Amino acid sequence: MAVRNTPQRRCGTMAVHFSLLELYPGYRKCLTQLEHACVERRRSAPFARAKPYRINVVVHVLYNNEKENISDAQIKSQIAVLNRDFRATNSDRSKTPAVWRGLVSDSQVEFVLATKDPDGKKSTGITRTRSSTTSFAIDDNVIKKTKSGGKDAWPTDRYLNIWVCALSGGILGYAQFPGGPSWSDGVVILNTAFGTSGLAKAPFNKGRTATHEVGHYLNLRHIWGDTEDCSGTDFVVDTPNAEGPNYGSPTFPKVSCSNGPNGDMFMNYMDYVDDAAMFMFTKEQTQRMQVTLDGPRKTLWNATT
Amino acid sequence: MERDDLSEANEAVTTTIDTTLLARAWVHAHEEDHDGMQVFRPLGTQLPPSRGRRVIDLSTPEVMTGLAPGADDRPESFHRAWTIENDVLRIRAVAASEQRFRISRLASDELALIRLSS
Repeated sequence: MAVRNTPQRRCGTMAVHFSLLELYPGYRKCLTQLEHACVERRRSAPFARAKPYRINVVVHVLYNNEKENISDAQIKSQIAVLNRDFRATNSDRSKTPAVWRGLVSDSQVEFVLATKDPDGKKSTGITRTRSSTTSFAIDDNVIKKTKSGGKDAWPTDRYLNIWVCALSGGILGYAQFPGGPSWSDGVVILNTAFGTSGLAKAPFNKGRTATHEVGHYLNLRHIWGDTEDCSGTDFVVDTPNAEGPNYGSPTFPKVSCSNGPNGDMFMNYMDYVDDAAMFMFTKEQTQRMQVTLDGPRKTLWNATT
Repeated sequence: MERDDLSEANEAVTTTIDTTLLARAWVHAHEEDHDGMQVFRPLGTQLPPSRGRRVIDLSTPEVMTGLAPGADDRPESFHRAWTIENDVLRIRAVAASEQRFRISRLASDELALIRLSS
């Protein structure tokens, strides 16, 4: 098992998400408008999409040594997982407890490595940058700035940007919700928790960290609602209220917040369990992601790139 | 002190906790949780990567500061009030219900808590 330093407490640590809410009025406005749009969508008659949303992806590999310069195969294994998970074709969805099997949802989102760069030139959808930074901090977005030793995003209205690197702080990844600054939009994933091969290491070697982070990128919240006293919400009604994150590989049912008899939906991608223990989005989560894709992230799948 | 039976966790006991041992920052080693017990290690202990960990700092009497996984998975700081009564750790947030934990084990390298019903 890899050993890393545990998160270190820093004076005045302020969540980047909340910092953005204060610094960028447009971010708060976008998230508020999305909540209204989600309510409206819930009230409207359900409809089936004729074809899936197709999102161009660019993966920025940041490496300090050759070992960290992960292979194309590892990157492609991650794209394959995203496609299986967001189309609900992952074989392990059959492990969903019977009581929730009817909620397993195909979000109709597909991912493809970009075949053209922002200038229209042929591309693999992968950039590779050697950096003197041995591990990137999680609260300064240095990884997203070329002049600081990271790599600038490709236009975030046309590409889902995924940065893969060594991360400090002991976490597996982080995301930016819709409506934030465009230059930092995208997700960041630890290179040992990315894809299913190469550097990927158990218990985070089934590509579910990216599934989780892209869920945030499409405006999904944690199933426990980001409080640990049952007072929070994920703004989704078909995921039971949960007290806090679940870890490892829990046994069904795991009851909290008076949510018995079925308990926490810990097998949801938006919980904190091991990769092998998470395997579903729900119908309402799909609706929430689709509202985002029909709203602030519409240019992603309408792009001609 | 160690308890296996969660039903015993709510029993009143009169064990006194060494608050000098308790007064430090602890990180949730969730991999070691078992039988309803949450295991914490001193902050700085080498632990494997995780989607997110809770840190609680009890080094200041009555005022807890800490970190918890935030909405975007990066840690967020939080503040709580805390008190200790025998072996029961009470943690209270403004405008939120109190959380009570029995201190099941306390050593220089381990703090083990069992959540008590409110």
